[in-house]
Amino acid sequence: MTELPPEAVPGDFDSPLGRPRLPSVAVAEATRLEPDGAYRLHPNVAVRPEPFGALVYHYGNRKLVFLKSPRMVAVVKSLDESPSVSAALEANGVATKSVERYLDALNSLLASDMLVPFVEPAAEPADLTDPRIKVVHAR
Amino acid sequence: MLVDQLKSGLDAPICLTWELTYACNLACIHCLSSSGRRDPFELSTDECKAVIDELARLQVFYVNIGGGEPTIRSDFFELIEYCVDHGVGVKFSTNGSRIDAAAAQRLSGSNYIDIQISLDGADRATNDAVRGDGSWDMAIAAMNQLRAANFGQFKISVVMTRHNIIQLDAFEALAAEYGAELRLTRLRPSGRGADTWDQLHPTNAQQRDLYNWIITRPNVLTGDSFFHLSALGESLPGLNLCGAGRIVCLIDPIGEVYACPFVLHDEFKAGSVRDPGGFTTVWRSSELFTSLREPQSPGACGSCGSYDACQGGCMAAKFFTGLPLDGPDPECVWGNADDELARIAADAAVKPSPGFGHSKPTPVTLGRKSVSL
Repeated sequence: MTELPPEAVPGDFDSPLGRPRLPSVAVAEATRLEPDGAYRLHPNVAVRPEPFGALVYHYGNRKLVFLKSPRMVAVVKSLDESPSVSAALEANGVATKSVERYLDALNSLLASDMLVPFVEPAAEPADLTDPRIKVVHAR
Repeated sequence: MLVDQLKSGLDAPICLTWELTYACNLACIHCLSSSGRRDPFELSTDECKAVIDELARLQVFYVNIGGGEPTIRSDFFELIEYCVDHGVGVKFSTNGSRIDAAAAQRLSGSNYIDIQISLDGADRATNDAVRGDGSWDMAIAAMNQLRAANFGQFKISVVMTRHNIIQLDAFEALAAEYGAELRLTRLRPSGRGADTWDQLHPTNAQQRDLYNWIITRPNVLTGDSFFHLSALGESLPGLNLCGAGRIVCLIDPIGEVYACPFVLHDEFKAGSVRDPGGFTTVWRSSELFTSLREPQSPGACGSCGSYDACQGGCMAAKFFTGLPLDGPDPECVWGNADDELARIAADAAVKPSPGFGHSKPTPVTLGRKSVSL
């Protein structure tokens, strides 16, 4: 199967903007994904398996992304347990010649806030106003 | 190709439209669902919650709630809050009549509720000619309440007609004034729209103006509804395909499942959430949806160089104007449906009946008094 980068779809599936009142996690300068860095799916993001791969939806900014191959889905899901992006790519058998394409795809997930850089939990209590720890089902 | 996979259907819809009630305090002349009177067999609160449980299990990301006027249901807030509590996001369309200060405050409490205020003219006269007297004031009052309650960005949703396409810039300015998003959708000859489409649908020249306007405004939402205009050049944002029964569908107030919001007609009814197996079985194995996911013939459009871009247009628009489903859209930008439309106009029997509706009895004016028959 041809593996293609994910593709963000605006339109009625739906807003490319969402409601800006919900602050998004700042990715301003860090939009370039670091292959050695660790990343996690944003807690407001749901991954739904589909025959072609998966749909990824961000409940916060209402963005929808198609992951167009099962391997891409496996990579994205394994980021949560991986020490780095490179480790996740390797663990899922992504060929060296395909690495750039995968990095581009993951980078677009980062740019749309679907992925966030993993930060070691601090010793102090969590900041409950941080949108990153908002639970999907919470109101 | 992703598009081919989408055409063969998903395990569950990405989103679906759910008309919660046929009751409405307005009587818009283009109403897709011919709404007005509540249907006595409307889904109960518990039945609605069971549907929501099912949508949550299927990971349907959000529902587009409409009607009728959905806020008329006394359990409206209970249901949308139940959706959000179960991980199903909500976007609802309203005429604004029930968005008072308390409602605006309550809606502002959730980050997972989007609101679309329907407005079909950028001024009172243009809007009220379609949506009825008082509807402009109703919508503006609701927008003011949402702003006062600091709701954040809501959407102003406009059905494009022959009379309001010239107001695109004014709509944009109105949305900007409220910090709102502008959402433009296509007029369909469905429901009461079947009777008014001839007078209301944009001219071909206006369609070009609209295309040129949209293409330079990536932040204007279109609900993927103008994909027939992609034949004019660069594709409009979105999937540019008919999602009926493949990636979207509609649940009506009595639980019947249709292929899309624009085909409330027996021909496009796939089943009911009240059937054994519920919505999931209708989505996954109904005869209608299975057939819609099979490769569709381009028919008469096969020889046109624009077919890949426009996909022959909208199934509902063809159906309700009496055109064959495997031919050009009635608003084909190249005019490829014009001859057939002229032939149909000369033979009224070709057009399907719009089907039953829930319109209120037509008021008949006797002298200066209006009487309902």
